[in-house]
Amino acid sequence: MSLFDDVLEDGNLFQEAPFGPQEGYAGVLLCATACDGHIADEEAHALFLILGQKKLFQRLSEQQFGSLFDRLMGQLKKGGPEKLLQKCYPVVPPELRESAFANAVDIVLSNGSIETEEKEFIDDLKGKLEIEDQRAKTIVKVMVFKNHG
Amino acid sequence: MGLFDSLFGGMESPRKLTPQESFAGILLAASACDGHISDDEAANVTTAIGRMRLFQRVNEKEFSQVMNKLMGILKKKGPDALIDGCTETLPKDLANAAFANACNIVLADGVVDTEEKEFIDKLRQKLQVDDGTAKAIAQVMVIKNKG
Repeated sequence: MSLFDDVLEDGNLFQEAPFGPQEGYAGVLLCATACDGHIADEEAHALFLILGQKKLFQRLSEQQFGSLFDRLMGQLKKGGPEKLLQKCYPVVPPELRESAFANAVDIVLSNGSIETEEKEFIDDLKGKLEIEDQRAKTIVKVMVFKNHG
Repeated sequence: MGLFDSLFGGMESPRKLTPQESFAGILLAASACDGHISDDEAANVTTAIGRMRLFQRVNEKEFSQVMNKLMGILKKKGPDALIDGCTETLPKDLANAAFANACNIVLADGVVDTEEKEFIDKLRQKLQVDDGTAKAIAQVMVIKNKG
C-alpha cells in the first residue's frame, strides 16, 4: 500500500470528480478537433463558437469554463483522443447525442478537408452515440453542404 | 446620382456582386432578418466565411470593404433586397452551402421568430433548393443547434 493510500483513508478524497454532461459534450467535440493529431485554427474556432452558444454552458463563469477545459485538455494530452472519448461519450445527455454528433461532423469538415483518422473517428462516434444509420447519413450530407466552398 | 451612391454601392451600381459578396451578403441578411444582428449571429457569419476557400485570397482590408458595401445595401434597402441581389449572382454550386449556413445562423441564438422563418422560406425559393434537400438541411441545423 502506498503512502498516500495510507494517509487518505477515505477513498474518495483527492480523487478526480467524474465527468458530467458538460464535460461529456465538450469532450466529444474536443476529440473531434484533435482526432487527426492536430487542432487546426479553424477547428478550435468552430469548437469555441459552438460551445459558447450552448445553453448547457450558459451558467458557467469564464473561470469555470476554463477549468473544465483544462481537465479535458489534460486528459487529451495524457491519454489521447481515444481515452478522452471513452470517458466522455457515456455522459453526453441522451437528448444531446445527435447534437454532439452533428457538431463533431461540422468540426472535422471545417478545415475543408477530411482525413482517414477523421473518417474513422466519425464512424466510431456514430456507433458510440448510437446514431441511427439513415440519420447519420443525413447529418453528414448536410454538414458537407455547409462546409462546401 | 447622389453624392454617396458610389460610396455605398447600392443595387443600381453597374458592377455586379462578386461570388464572395453574394455569399457573405446572404449570410449577413440571415443574421439581420429579425431586425437585429445578435453577437452569436455575427460570430457565426465571420466563422462561416473565415474558413471558406472562396475567401482565402481576400485580405482583411478587402473583407471589410465587402462587408461595408453589404451593410450599406442592408441598411438602405433591407434584407429582402440584399438577398434578391445576392441570390442572382451567387454561383450555383454554392446554393446549398449558402442555405445551410443561413439556417445555422438564424438558429444560432436558440430562437427562431416569424421574420426568420419567412426569410428562410424566401431564401429557399430564391436559391432553388429542392424541398427534400431544404428539409434535410433545416432538420440537421435544428439538431446542431440543440442544447
